[in-house]
Amino acid sequence: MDIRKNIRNKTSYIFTVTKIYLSVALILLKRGPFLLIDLWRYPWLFNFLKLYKLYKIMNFRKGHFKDGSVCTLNGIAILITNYIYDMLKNPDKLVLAEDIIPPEIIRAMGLTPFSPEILAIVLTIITPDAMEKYIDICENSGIPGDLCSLPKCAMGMALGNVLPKPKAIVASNLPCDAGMMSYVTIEKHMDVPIIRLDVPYNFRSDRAITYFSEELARMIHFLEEHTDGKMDWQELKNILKERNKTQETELELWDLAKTKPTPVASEMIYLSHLVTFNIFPGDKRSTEIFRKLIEFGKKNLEEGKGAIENETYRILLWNPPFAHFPMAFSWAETKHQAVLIMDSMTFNTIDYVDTATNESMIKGLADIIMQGPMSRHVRGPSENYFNDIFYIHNHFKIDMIWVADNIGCKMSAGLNEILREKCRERNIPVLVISYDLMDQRFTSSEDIKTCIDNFMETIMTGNLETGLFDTDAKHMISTER
Amino acid sequence: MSKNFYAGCDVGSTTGKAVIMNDKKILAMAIVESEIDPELTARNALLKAMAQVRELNRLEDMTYLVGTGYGRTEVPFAHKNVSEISCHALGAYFIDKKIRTIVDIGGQDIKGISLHDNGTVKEFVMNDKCAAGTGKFFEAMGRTFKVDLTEFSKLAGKAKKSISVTSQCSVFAESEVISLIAKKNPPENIALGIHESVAKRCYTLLKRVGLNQRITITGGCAKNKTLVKTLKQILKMDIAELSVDPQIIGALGAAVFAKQNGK
Repeated sequence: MDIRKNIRNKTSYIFTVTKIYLSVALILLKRGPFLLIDLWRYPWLFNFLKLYKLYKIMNFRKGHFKDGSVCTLNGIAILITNYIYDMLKNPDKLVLAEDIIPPEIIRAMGLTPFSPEILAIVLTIITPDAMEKYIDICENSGIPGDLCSLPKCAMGMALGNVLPKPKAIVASNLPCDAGMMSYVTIEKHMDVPIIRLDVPYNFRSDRAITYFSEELARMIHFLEEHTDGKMDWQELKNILKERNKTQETELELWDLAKTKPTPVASEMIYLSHLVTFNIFPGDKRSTEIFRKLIEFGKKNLEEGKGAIENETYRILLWNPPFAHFPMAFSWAETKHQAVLIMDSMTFNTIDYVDTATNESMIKGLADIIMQGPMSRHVRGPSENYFNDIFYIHNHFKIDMIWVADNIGCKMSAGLNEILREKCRERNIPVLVISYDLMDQRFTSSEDIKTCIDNFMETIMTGNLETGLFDTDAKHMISTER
Repeated sequence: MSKNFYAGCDVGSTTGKAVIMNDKKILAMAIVESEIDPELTARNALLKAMAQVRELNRLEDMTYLVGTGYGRTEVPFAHKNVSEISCHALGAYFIDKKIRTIVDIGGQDIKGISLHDNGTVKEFVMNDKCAAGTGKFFEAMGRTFKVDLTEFSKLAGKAKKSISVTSQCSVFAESEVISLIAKKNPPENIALGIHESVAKRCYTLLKRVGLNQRITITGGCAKNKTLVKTLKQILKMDIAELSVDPQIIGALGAAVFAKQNGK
């Protein structure tokens, strides 16, 4: 039986991977012979082509959850391939945009947005050691080693000359000092005009929205001045209308995740959001991915099944997921019957964008940027951080919080200690996993597993019955026979 | 005489500990130095403890055996393995049911553990990426002064005042201490400064899990009287002294667990 099952699994894996590679190849081969030059100039493309590694996730999943996971990976593979293809194809329209800057405006101007941080995350998810040499390049250039490794990747790729030279750079003061500093290095090395958007510290007010809308208007003016891009308001309206549709569809997916046991989980929730809303928001393909995921979830619901058999624990992951350990959640499902329900990078309470006027669209986008994940969590009062956590805990019936405590994130380090105290008051189990976002050399996947195992064994399942102590120790503390 | 024998074996990075119990009492306990092979460490510790129990001749005669410690998964003759966090909590609570907070200073890590009122683990934090404040740290510091751990503790106990050692890293601390010795600072004052730096590290760890009375200290470093005294001063709280060797608390917890499972 096991041999048959193995053969069936392997055949299914090979078939799925072959199919997706054909689609990826069809897109990339449009570059013709230039693709060879691209591979030589941008060696990280080889890492991207190791995409098949992600599909190993299939081996841990069953039924509609497996189908949903594959659907997520397929959708993402196609979107990222297109993202890379656009970047290679349109060097004259390229705008290097920090990951926090949503790409809607840049696209509406007929330009091609490209974020080194997003590329670094995607490549690390595919090949865990993909960014190590760029981190080393960055540190060897004199950048302090204790900065967050994500900006170190962006700087390392720029300093290593493996990023295409853009026409302009859009950066901001989000989300942290290291992020801000990285764009000084990138700007100096690339010698490209740059604009830095100033995001107000206290952002929940009309005054902040008005101020930041003016900043976005300044960005449009800057891009029109330094690139061939021209603002097309009708195109922006189309993008934002579609963005609203994607958001509405995603909310339906989240509704499914509220069910116990959840019919949708893990990559279907966090990876789908990460790629669609950060790379292709306002794109029909993004909405379509969520529609398909909802179908798989509904099938599970109709059949009375959860995404995994015997769902025992529901996880809220706080801070960015372990980029170099993408198998963490499928492993946790098998080992501990624990499913990822929601995470800090996905969850938001942003309103739909009002597309009635140019001003309302800019205001809507200003709100999206200011209330983006990480941005809203580490700016303003600490309640911004905790309110989301405890709302999600309650709303999605979470059993435990896993905090991915990125060693380079100085801003969340203090917050996480307060979080411990707040969770203690509420009797919520919390696990703080110390790791480096992009560098597995600090905490390996095995170390992360050990940390989770210790927590699950000791706090979630291993707490022993009081009956253990029914013997009076006083009579036993003697080595006499 | 009961024919049931329950054992706990704590395979640590520096020492292996074993405790054997029957249904009524603790029969034997042993501490051995760790070997490279955790299985050998476990075997040595258990055999040393078994030598104190006339009726026990073979490992196979053990009714139930629980392994714990960093090498716990490498003990093939254990019926079950349990994390050292649970075992330290269980062992300390077994001895004193009022214990709510534990600091365990082992050979290669420090743990802060808080307990529920029923003795189960409420929270824990570990310092496992850095040797500062661990038994290895004390060993390194003792080497610098060319004394063993007991002498090092006694040396610090003689100090009139302490000289702060600022480095939290074992490697840098060693360099700093060598510089302080070279500057003719009294060795006992430097030694006390080292103890204070470890006690402050323990305090930080304990703060993270919540400081609730009654507090105790377990692990090999709990035998360092100067450290316990310094920690008391820094915490401004009393530290409960357990009635058994604090180094075997993990193994004792494992044995209690074995007894409960093997019944």
